[in-house]
Amino acid sequence: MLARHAEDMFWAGRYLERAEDTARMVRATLLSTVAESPVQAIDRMQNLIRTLRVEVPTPSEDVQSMAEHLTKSPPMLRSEAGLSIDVQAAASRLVALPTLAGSVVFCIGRARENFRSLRDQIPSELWEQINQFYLRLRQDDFAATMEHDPFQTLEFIRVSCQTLNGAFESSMSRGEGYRFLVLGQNLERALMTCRLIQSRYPAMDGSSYDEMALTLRSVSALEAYQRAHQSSPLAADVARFLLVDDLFPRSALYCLRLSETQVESLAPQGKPPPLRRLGQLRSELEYADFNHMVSDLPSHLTALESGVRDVAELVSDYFFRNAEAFDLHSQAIKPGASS
Amino acid sequence: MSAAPAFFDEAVDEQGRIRDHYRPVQEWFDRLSLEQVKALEGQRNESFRRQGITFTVYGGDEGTERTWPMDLFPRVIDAEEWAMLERGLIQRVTALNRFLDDIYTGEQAILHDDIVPRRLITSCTGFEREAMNVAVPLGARCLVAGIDLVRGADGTYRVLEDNLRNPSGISYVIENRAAMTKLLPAAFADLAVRSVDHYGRSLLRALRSIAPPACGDDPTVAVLTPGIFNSAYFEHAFLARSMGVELVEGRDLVVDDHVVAMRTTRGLERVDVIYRRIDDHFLDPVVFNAQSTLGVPGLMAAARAGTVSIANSVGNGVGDDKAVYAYVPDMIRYYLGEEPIIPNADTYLLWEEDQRAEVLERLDQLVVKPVAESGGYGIVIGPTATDAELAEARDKIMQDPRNWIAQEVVNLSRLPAWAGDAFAPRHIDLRPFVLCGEQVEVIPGGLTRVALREGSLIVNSSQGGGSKDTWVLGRPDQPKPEANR
Repeated sequence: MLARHAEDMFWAGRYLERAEDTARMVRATLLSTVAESPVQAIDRMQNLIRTLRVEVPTPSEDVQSMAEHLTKSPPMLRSEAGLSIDVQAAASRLVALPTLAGSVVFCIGRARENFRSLRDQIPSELWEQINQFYLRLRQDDFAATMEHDPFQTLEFIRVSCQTLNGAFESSMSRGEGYRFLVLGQNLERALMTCRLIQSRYPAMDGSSYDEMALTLRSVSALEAYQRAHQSSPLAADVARFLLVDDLFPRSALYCLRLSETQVESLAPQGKPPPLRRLGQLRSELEYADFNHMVSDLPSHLTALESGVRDVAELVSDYFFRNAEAFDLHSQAIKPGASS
Repeated sequence: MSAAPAFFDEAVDEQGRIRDHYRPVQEWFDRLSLEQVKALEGQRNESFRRQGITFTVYGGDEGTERTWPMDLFPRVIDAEEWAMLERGLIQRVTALNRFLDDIYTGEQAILHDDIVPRRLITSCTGFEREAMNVAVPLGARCLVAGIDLVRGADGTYRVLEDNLRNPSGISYVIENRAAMTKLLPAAFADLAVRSVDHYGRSLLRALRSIAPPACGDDPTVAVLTPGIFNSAYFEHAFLARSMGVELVEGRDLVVDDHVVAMRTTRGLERVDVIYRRIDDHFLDPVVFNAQSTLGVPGLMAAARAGTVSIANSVGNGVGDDKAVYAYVPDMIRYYLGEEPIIPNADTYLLWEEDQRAEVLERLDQLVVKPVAESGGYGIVIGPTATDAELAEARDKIMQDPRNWIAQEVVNLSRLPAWAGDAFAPRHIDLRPFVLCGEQVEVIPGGLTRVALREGSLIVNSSQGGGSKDTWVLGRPDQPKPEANR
């Protein structure tokens, strides 16, 4: 397929995943603050903002100041929904502020733009679904709805994202386009899980069930964890589950394996750089001595995160910019494969 | 205007009776209540919005994607009338292809024989010297043509314009039909409306038929678009999807040693036929506009070397120049030895001194058009223009008479359209689409455009126009031709 289309597909996958994960995390965080003191609530919201690492310069100042603002004025007021007003305002922005790079609205807008330039490549059902979803998020009353009824709204976002996943899983051919989409999605998912552990681990250390539950709920892992572990959770167990569980689809290991499968079938032959890096990263995680790893979790997580970033870079160089590096005179132009 | 203008009513005859071919449709609509129509309108808008069936209006920002305005009341053309139009369109486009081939790769016989004045061609902005001696397989230079037809007060179909460069609108023909079959399935009852769904296949077959002979029997076709910000991007994506080919932008293509290739995830892949939806002047910065980033450097040289075919051909603007248009009936006589089946609208050439004098006398009664524009830009409609606008038009004509033509006002025919609370007569035109490959084929019907404002004669969607599904009725005794493909 066209390199440009492949790149758009990859990024559509990343943005979709990012939107869904953000909605899950915001929902878990808001839920956990309902019965908490305002100070605790603010703590958790700041933690979430750190997890999400909203990166792009201007809008991130917005979030930065949001985090600072939360520290300065411990809010006592509660909103209609019973939440601390400032915490809820922060949540609303993470979901509904279109200018904030990383907000749900922003990510869905980007995903739609990518799909829009892929309209000849993707099933109409998928396009209609993302278009409808986006148009709802951009309606004038959306931000107000999020303020008024955050849980319902976040539920709507989760269901819409899952419908999108269903649309491409059930109607897209398993060709290159599908594989780049799934690759983008799983690399982003691995990154998000990794960051969640990074920012939540200190809070969980030796602490209450609530902190564990919040971490697990943030990636919809609580029920799966409880089925797998009957004893009361320890921070290390939670981290192990989210990093290397074999069966849970949001564990870092699971995401890396699935990514590896995609790259293997995308690579024309041999072991190109993105596949090599991905294989190394996956086997380091898979065969690591977890007890050793947990003794210095932060540095391992940092290494894992930058490893995933490397993979994304290599995928980009190898598949999307490949043709630019071609020496026209030494490389034969292949006859077209399409009909 | 003093006297009330007379119009031809499509659905009603002079005695006020519903015409036969409109009777089932009219009766079906008569049975609808106000609430039912409103519900249908709501469903239609929602469905177009969800599907993102939009067109872009330049100049706005967030609201630039507007949903496509389709009126519910269809236009109906009976089998016999269509058979005449089909013959006329095939005749006209065949002659135009012959003309373009004669000009660019032939002996320019029509100029030598003084049928068309040579200075008319050499002064034409659409005449591309870069296209001289670039052969096109099958001479299919207008691979896709959109011919605008109107009916004046006497009901005669006339050609108002030929669009031989990048005629757009076919995607809306197909989407209109898809929407109508979902919204009003019962209205189609037993009418044997001819299908338009096969367009993608027909277009692909035509494009493959003009592939360079050397590329074998499985040529690779691609659609070339300026990108998602172009007003017709929806259509470009639609066409690529319905043909199952890649939708490329200029930056996806490279030319090496006169071979065009696209950048894929597995390196470079050869492209044999390009259906381009980019204007001539942006196609190749080497020979045309050097500032253009939409095009592909070296593309024209590849076309000249015969390693890639480009559709529609470069330089077709010389065939749809509005001054050249006046000579199309003569071309039909000259190349085909036939009388034109569909006449032109009455046209005055302003570079001819006597015609110009007459036109300047009656400027307030005529329509004045720039010769090389499309989309309704630059048109001055005499009867509704202000004095200042008329004076400006007069100046422009005097400065550059070659650049203008004048036509009698055609009082476009009328058909009911929804006007918010009832169906009311509105003016319409018709753009059928003609495909040329190994044979010439007309897609049944075409895009009916409608001026939704009361009394307006402007049907362009950029200027408040809408569209209608166009139903060509099959002959009940004959199988549908599309079914055999």
